[in-house]
Order: sequence, then C-alpha cells, then structure tokens
Amino acid sequence: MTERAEEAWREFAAAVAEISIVPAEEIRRDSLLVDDLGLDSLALAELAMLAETEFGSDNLLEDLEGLDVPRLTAGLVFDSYLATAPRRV
Amino acid sequence: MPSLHGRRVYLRAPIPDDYPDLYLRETSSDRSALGGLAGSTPPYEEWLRARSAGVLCQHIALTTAANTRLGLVTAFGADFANGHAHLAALSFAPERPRPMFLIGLGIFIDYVFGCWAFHKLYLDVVEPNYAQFASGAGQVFEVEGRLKDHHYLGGRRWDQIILAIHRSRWSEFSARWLGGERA
Repeated sequence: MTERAEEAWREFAAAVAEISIVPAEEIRRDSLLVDDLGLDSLALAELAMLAETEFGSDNLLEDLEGLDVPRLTAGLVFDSYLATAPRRV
Repeated sequence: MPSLHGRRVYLRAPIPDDYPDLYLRETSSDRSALGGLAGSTPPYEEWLRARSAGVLCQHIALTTAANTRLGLVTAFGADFANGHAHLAALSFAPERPRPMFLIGLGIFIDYVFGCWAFHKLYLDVVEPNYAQFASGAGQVFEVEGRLKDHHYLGGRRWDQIILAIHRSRWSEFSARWLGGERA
C-alpha cells in the first residue's frame, strides 16, 4: 500500500472500530465484517452511511443488498469502496 | 409532515396488490418461525380485517432504484394520552442482513415522531431477530423488558424483548444516521 492508502486504511479501521466490538488495532484486512467484527444489520447500515459521509463512497449501501455479506472482509470493503474514493472530510 | 422519501429507499402505503403477498409471507413456515402467525393460517378475509385493527399507519419500504420491496413497517396501539405507540417491522428477506430495510425503518420512525407527539415507541422483538440490530442498544433504543420464554416457535421457546426508542435519543441518532439518505 502507498503511504496515502495506509493512512486511509488506518482511518477506516478507526471508523469501523467505533461501530464494532473490536478495537482498531485488531481490525485486519481479512477480518470478516459479521463473524470477526460483530457487525449486525444496523452496524452494516451505519458502516455504509459512514463510508458515504466521511469517505465519499456512494454505492456500499445498495451493493450490500446483493453481496454475500457473511464473506465480506474489511479489506474487500476498503479496496472496493474507500481506497480510491474522494475524501469528504 | 416528514418526507417518506430517501435517496435510495422510500415508503408508500400498502395497496390491495400487496396484501396477498403479505398473507403468504405471514403464513409461511419461514415467517412463522420468526414471529409471523406462528403456524396458524386464518382465512384471508379474517386475516385482512385483523391486521388493520389498531393500526395507526403502515408503509411498504422499497428501493428507489428498482422498486424492490424491502419490507413492511407498521405503527399500532397508539396511546395518545400517555404518548407512546408500538412498531412492527417485517423484512421480506429475513434470512439475510438487509441494511436498506433498516434505513426504511429509520425513515418510518422519523415519520411517526414527526406526525404525532409520542415521546417513545416500543418495538417488540422475538429473540432470534434481535441479533440483527443488537448493536443499537444504548444508542438507538433501550431494552426495557424481556418476557422469558414468551414464544414457542420452531420447536423451542424464545424470549420476547421489548425495546423503547425515545424521541430525544432518536433525533440525535437520526441526524447522524439518516443524514446521507436525506441529502
């Protein structure tokens, strides 16, 4: 990862930690959102809203309807929706 | 009156074409296992009469992009003297996480608090369904009661959990949570 991408990952992990049962430093790219990070439907919706308002990614909420959510990892969400999104804050 | 339209989810009142599907969902074995009619199959006309009793308002939640029906949200049992009412939420895909339906439920709660001066709304949840939004305890709602072994579903007993959504706490959460949807 580039320095910018690493910084974005740390910010993402910190944001996820606020809605997860796991502290930011323990969130890995292969952490499963549901089984490892304990995100339920409400927390997933909050993650999608957070991705939108703070990270500038518009599609996660709608895509969660079709994705295999139990297999989603933090790294996959970050790479697909956040790594290249224009920051809004 | 609060808007029923978000950017990706909107609500509309049920129309006659919706009811046969709702009847089938509430009488199916899958639905019964998580709090529908618990196995009984009342005649359609009787079910239709009973389901409107005490209802204050109800809406179907749909996606804006494809008009995919996400679920049904209902407010009922309004007690205007004491300022509270009950909510029910029926997801049309209960077997999988459905964050967009929860956005629809959020729009509905905004609507109910905006139309009537309730100070809190109760949501009765069968124990296995609670796991879908347990993370909201303490920030979106309070767990105000638990009826032990209240339901017999799928061959075992389950608790009924009584949640309360307070107006003051909801407005704070809604601004943060639904802000992107209202933009």
